[in-house]
Amino acid sequence: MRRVSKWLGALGALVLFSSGCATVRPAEREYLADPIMSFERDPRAPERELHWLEAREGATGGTGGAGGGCACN
Amino acid sequence: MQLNRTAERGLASLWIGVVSLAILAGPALAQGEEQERETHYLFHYFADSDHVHVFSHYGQGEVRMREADRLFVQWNHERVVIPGISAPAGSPEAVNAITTASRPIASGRKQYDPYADYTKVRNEARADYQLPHGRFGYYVSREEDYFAQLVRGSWDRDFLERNVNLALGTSYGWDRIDPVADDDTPGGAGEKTTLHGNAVLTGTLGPKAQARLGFEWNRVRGLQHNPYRNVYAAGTRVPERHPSERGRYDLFLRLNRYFENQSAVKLQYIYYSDDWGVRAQTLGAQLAQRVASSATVEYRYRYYRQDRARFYRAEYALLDGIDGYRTGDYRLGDFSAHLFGGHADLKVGAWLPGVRWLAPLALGLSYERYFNTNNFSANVLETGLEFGF
Repeated sequence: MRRVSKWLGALGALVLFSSGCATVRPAEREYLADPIMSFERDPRAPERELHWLEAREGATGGTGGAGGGCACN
Repeated sequence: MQLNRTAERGLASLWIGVVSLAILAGPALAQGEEQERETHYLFHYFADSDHVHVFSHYGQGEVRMREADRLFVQWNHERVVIPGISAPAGSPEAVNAITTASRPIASGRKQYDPYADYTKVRNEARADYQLPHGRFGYYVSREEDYFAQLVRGSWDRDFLERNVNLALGTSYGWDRIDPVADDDTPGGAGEKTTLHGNAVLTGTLGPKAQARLGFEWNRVRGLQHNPYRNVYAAGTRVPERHPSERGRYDLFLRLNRYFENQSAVKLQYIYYSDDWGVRAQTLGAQLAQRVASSATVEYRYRYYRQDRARFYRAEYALLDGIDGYRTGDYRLGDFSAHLFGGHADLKVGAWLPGVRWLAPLALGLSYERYFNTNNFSANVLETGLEFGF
């Protein structure tokens, strides 16, 4: 039951996400292209953070990529 | 072990070859186009309330190869200093600290003496090759008792007039653990593999807003407990034992919104679940503000909360723990954590326009404060220097 509700939640998030998307023309993307709007100011920063956070917390992820090693410091 | 060292030497040679190729072939491959290279140096310092200190030196290089292809290489040298036990030798506090220690302890060997600082060195190298619609890469990390390797690849594609991007990624990591001398644990080598997959959807919500939705999946197999740690069970001390399989899943949503005063607010939510019974939720908020054409600052807050694993207990009444498993790892207990931080970026050249060689130089400085309900706290400091040419 818990597994079904998890997948339903994921599907719901996907539907909400899709319905919320808008068409923005290239000429209107000045603000979206501003570096302060990027999801990561440094593409490698999430991996560095995950490296020390994984050694302190039981969860992982949230970055869309995988780290490696034992993350033991 | 011999095979491991041979493989390591081979990989080191491969690594040197890739870096040399990047440096030598970069200009030739980018012939006829503007050369574009960047080098970064980052110093990362971590200190926590247990007096553990971590010093990391990152060297990074990025070269444009041809058209939109880029090669990224990184090397990291890290030194971890774990303090010796400060309680008087033979006291109950010292015995308890030795029993539950997550570091090697061997009284007869100076570097593993329980009352002296233990220093551990880790060297890491990685290379990623970026294509117009994907990337692939390799990672290797070496410690005294740990050897890790990972290969990864990803693909992405734009849809709906570039308003939606779908990215799919995967990686496979294989680790070898060779515990060094330890007085009170049986040791024994082990292996661990991690298979990872992710799907990330990024979309525009309007001219000033965008969102990202992602799902990640990990299947971990092999040795997953600390080979140096004992736990108290049925009044005696026995080695920690975790299940050898773990399925880990997370779903995340991120929202970015731009404001007219040249600032952006970024929100993040992550739901995590695994088949050991750990459930966690993370909420994050960031404010990025451009304070001058050449300077930006970012403020950040993150809240984290998790439930305990099914087999986690503060004390075990039975020698076999819960279903045969027992742990002394507080990461598998329930707790919450807060993180506050700030980051500043400065383009040095804009402040000193008369000095041409400083034009491509950028400086970064971050400070973060982390604390949780286990009376643990940490300070994280990062300084970076970037030079493009």
